[in-house]
Amino acid sequence: MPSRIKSWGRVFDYDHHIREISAASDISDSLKTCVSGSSLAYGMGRSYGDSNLNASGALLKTTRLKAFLKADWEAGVVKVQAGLTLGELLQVCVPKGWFLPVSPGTKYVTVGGAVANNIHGKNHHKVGSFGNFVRALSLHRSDLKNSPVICTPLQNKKLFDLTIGALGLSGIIEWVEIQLKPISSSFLYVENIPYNSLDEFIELSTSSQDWEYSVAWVDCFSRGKELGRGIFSRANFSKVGTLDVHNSQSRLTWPFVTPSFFLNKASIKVFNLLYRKRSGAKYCGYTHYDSFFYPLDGINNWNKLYGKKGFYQHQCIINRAQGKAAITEILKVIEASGQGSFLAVLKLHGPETSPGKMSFCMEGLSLALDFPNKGNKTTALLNEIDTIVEKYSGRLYPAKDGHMSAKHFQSSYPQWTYLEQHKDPALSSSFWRRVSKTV
Amino acid sequence: MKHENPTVLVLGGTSAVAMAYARNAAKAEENIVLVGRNKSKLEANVVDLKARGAKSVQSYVCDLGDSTEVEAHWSALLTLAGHVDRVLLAYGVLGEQSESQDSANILRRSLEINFVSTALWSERAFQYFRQHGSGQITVIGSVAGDRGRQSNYHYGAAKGALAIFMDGMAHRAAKLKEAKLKILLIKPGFIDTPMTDHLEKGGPLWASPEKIAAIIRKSERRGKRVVYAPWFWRFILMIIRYLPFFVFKRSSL
Repeated sequence: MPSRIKSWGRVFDYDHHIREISAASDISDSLKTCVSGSSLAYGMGRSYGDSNLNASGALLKTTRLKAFLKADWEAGVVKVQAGLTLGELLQVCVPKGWFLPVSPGTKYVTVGGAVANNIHGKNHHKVGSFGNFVRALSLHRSDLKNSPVICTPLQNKKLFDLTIGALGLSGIIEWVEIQLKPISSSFLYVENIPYNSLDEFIELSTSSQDWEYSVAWVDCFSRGKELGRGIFSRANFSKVGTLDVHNSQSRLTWPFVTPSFFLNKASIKVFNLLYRKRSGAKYCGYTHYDSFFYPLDGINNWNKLYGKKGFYQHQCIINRAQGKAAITEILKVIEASGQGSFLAVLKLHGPETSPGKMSFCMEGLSLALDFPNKGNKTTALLNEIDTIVEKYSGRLYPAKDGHMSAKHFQSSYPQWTYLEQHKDPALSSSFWRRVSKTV
Repeated sequence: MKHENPTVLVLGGTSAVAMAYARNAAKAEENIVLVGRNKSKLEANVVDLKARGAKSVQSYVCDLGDSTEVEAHWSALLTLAGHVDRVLLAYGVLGEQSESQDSANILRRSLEINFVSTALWSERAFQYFRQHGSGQITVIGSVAGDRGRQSNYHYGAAKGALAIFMDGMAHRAAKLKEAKLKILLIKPGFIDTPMTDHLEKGGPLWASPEKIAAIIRKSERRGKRVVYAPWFWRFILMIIRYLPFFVFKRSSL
């Protein structure tokens, strides 16, 4: 029976054949016996656009593969199956004094997904992307006799480098060995600093290079001299404190799909104003990792907030030299369109040091946005933003994309042809079919 | 005797709910003994639980459904574990009723696994805990045991009999003066595990093994006797139980 699956942005809604992977031995079986064209590994379904969808094909659900295969708590090295979520990993490693080396904005992603998207976080300026901390992984491929193959920075290096950021197309990841980061407390010392312009943001980011984590929330309705104003946030893990793990049970659930008029120019303006004026906007003090890294995880199904038609995410990165000019142009276009983004996040990235061949990150400025899907009006705005990104030789993050043109993808990721040649022929995704079209 | 790190005996140590329960025990740094038939799966689970922080993890391979061997296995397990504080009985077979309808052997085997052997294991654990002064026996039953339905009364009858058995055991435990025994029967509804992969899934009635495992541990701590998991099944089953037969017979439940 085909089932309809939506991605996290809820814009795309396709029929899929779902197959539960209950044991590692099911992976190769599924690849061999797939009857519906192509397959794609599917974890928590948190990618926003269509990179985790495979319309009319098969999705191999990996979330039952969540065993620990090895753990060295002296060295902080764990070998875990790919379907384990980062939240489940934290439940185990935090009490032992270890944390994720790189953490995205949600803990509800699988380790396999973290590798496939070579995810980054608020500490990119210090440590690069997730791929830097992958010591080894095992990969099932339909076209290899000795599958699964173990890939490390020394062994099967080409396949290792390709798999980090290959969007799940280079094979199905069975397990990953990760180097964790030592912590002595589950709390962070955080400083929130309201700032008034893009220049101030860059100044703050530059002078905060020694802080482990930094990021800024941007008010998309600011204009003129105040363009890019927002709240800059920087943090370090506390040296003292307790190792309290997050609560894995009680969470609120967004109860229904909110009518789409709920998020409009006026309501976002009010939200932005309140967000800037609230007392927490200038907060300096200690915060638990759960509220610092994963504020939205507190609400189940927050994606339903954007109405029935869902929403688009958009994250671009532009090189350091031209970053400011590009972001200024983008913010102007958004302000003029009146379609403000509710959650706009700005970050100054350091050089990308991970081995991932298809990495999104580079040294420069990245801006993450989200827009409720209002049909043509929204896609027109996205087109306009993309044109600016393209002009400044920037690129877009596939995990968040549901929209970029094949031409833009191919010019900004010229190494895509290598992935196209070396991907597992049994694997594909809606995203890949969209962006690998001949242009 | 009080032990700093309790020891929990998990019968059916390869089932998804049992494993979720054992993972919580590992997090609490308990001693765990896993019992089941599939040696390689048990061994993988041992590695997983050790990595997650269990004080100690051991495995024991045997056919839990073989009711003639319960005493022998119990002694061996006790030698292995030293002592036991809690027992979770989580094994069972769902089976296809169409098959057990056509085969007396399959039906006999299903009743043997789901009821006879479970009753004997519980009784043996009761005897042990009674001697030692305290203990917890938790048995996973099923909402299917609340009313016989044409589609799965073979499974349901065993689970229903088990409910009466545990009820009686709880009564007996309450009357004990020399020992403090806690007896718990969990009645889950639909759980998303490999055991139910042949059914169509999705929707609010389906629960994850992790959710059921959390309910089990919470109910043990609170000293509960019978718990539907999740809670709403209690009301669904109340309606199903009280439906008059002339209405019930028209359904294809």
